[in-house]
Amino acid sequence: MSIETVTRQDARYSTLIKSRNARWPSSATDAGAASRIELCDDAKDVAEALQRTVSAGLRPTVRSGGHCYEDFVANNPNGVILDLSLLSEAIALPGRSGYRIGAGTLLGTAYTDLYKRYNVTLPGGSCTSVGAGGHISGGGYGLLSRLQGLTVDWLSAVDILTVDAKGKVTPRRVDRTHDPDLFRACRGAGGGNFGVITNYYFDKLPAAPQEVMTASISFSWASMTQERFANILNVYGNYWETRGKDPDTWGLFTLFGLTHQSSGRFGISVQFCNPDGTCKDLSVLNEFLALFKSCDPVMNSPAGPVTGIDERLGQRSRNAPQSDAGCVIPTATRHLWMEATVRGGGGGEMRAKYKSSYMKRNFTAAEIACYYKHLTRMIPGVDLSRSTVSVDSYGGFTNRKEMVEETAIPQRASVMKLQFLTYWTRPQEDAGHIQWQSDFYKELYSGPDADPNHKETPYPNDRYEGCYINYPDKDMLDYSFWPQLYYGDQGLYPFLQEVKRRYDPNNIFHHSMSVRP
Amino acid sequence: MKPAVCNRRDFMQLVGSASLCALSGHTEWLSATERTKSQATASFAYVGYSRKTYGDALADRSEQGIQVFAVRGERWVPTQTIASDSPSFLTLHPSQRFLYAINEVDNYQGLPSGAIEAYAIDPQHGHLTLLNRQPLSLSGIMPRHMTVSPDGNNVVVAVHGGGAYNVLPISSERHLGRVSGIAKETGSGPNEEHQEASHPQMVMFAPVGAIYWARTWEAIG
Repeated sequence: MSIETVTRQDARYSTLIKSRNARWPSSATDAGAASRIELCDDAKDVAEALQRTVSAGLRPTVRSGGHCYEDFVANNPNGVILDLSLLSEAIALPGRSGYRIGAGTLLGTAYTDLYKRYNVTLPGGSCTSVGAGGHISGGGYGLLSRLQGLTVDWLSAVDILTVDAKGKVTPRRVDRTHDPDLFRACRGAGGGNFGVITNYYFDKLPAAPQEVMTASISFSWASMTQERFANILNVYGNYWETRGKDPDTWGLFTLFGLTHQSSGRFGISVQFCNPDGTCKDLSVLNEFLALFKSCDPVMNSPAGPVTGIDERLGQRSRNAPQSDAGCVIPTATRHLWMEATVRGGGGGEMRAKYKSSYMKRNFTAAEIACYYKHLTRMIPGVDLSRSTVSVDSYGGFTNRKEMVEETAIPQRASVMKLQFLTYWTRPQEDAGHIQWQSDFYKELYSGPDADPNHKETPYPNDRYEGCYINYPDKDMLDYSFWPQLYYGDQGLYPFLQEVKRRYDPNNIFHHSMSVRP
Repeated sequence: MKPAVCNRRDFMQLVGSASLCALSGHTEWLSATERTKSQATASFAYVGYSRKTYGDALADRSEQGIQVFAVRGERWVPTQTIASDSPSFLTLHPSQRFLYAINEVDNYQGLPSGAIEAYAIDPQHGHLTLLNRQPLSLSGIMPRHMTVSPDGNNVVVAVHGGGAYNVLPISSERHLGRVSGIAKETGSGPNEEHQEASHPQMVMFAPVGAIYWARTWEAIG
């Protein structure tokens, strides 16, 4: 195995330097772009590449799937990107004593291999091109989490490369009895903080369901009124605050995409199975679907599988046919070869911005009014048709209280987790989209239910549990209490700072929102 | 300890970590033919301060910046204070017409980094005018020292808190460009409190003009 070094002179540089968000780097000659990408085949390669980087005084950032929601990896002026995407393996340990997943494994590969070989799965995310490295270290939430918990709840050990005070790379296998504090930090604090994770280990993994039912409930904006909108959100939120807490409903999972009016529709994607992984008894599903009959949904053909919301929003045809009659001269579009050939194989072509929050209760009237206002707000020159708030159902098995102390995900009392997403194509549109989302979010969390000392944010209180570190949002740096938004105010952040000082004393691993030493 | 600021001498004795730049003989800026021998030479002095050391102990808010003094013989007459955040080290450009100040801070524009400022010096009164300011590299907090290259085209900063060196280009107008080079240091020593990681204290140019530490990107592998 050997390290493949791709410098600026290499023909692959302009493809491999890209992330899945077209904002970063802005181009191959962006001053913030790394000077080289080190493609590693195995953990030994990673250790060697990391040592060379540190010994040369350069900054390493680490990439698996490239889906980071901020510029934490891409904004590394003249630094080195350690690309772990080739460390791709989901395999059982000898004697089926556990499972190992390489940090570069894409979720789609992990699900496929674990299912075919062993009939098990990870309760991880629905976006199949997301890499294990960043996804698992920041929590690993997914469609099966209400039934099976978070991916980090199942994590048993981690291979991680740290850099000691003298600058020497130290490979470690950490778990509950070896460097337990570092292990806990790897269970949800987020990537790019303490070292380079090369492998994840699981003593046990949950059985994969045999079958799932999917459904889709759509609402048309054309005939929508604020009253009907309020009713729909109330029905949804009330279910998750109440009935959704019963274990017989934990096989039900929904994503409620509150998409901007300019898209024409908004709707709920549903996945369901019984807790035993079959679909023999559909009463819970039917009970949920029936709640919305009175809300006058649009009639749909049967829904396909629930895909990642960014895959649904982002994949609009960019070669829409010209209008009608006669011979039409087509326009040609330029692509990087990797992106044209392997869907999701290269960087993303869309620009995007994200925010997050956790909700413990149903929507309030003030919140609903705010949603309606901003989802129907038209801004001249700003195409908001790819803008949404995905209100995802959680709670269930994700809310085991003992996981607060065992992992670095303290949010164990919420019933919904929200992802704010907005997508666009041209740099000139950056400001308009970012401003729309920011105005919306700030107003949403400055209402009567927000903590008065932490306005504009979902600071932990009886309604909210802060923000999710794997949907990072640099705007939160405007608030001095941003670490408490992500890590709570019950002592987790000081714990992580102590882990940081002990295992990364030189602060080799840092980004805009990394744990401050 | 609260420094007394009754006169320049007391202030200088107390503010031990303040940086002082003395600029003398402004007549040197005049061409040789314009120099008047009979004119008394005025000098200027520049004093910064360290917020880390003195925090809010500086009684007079007007001292929280870079203070400009006209030096007339034994007397230092304050003539200007320009606002600046913890300018704990100052240095002059070789042309003596520009001054640079590091901001020894751990947060700049919401990110964990220090910063560096460029000022033009008015030849008449020695007054400073801010040209521009640049952030240091991400995690490059609490810079401590810097030096301008002998040719005046670059400045190197010893980033004490963040454990690195930063290089910034200086334009022909003597503005600071964006950080063009970052060298991260590692290493520790026996003193657990101060040597738990690398904290560069200073940087200087060797007499031949080469940077004393050499890190070339091509040195890898």
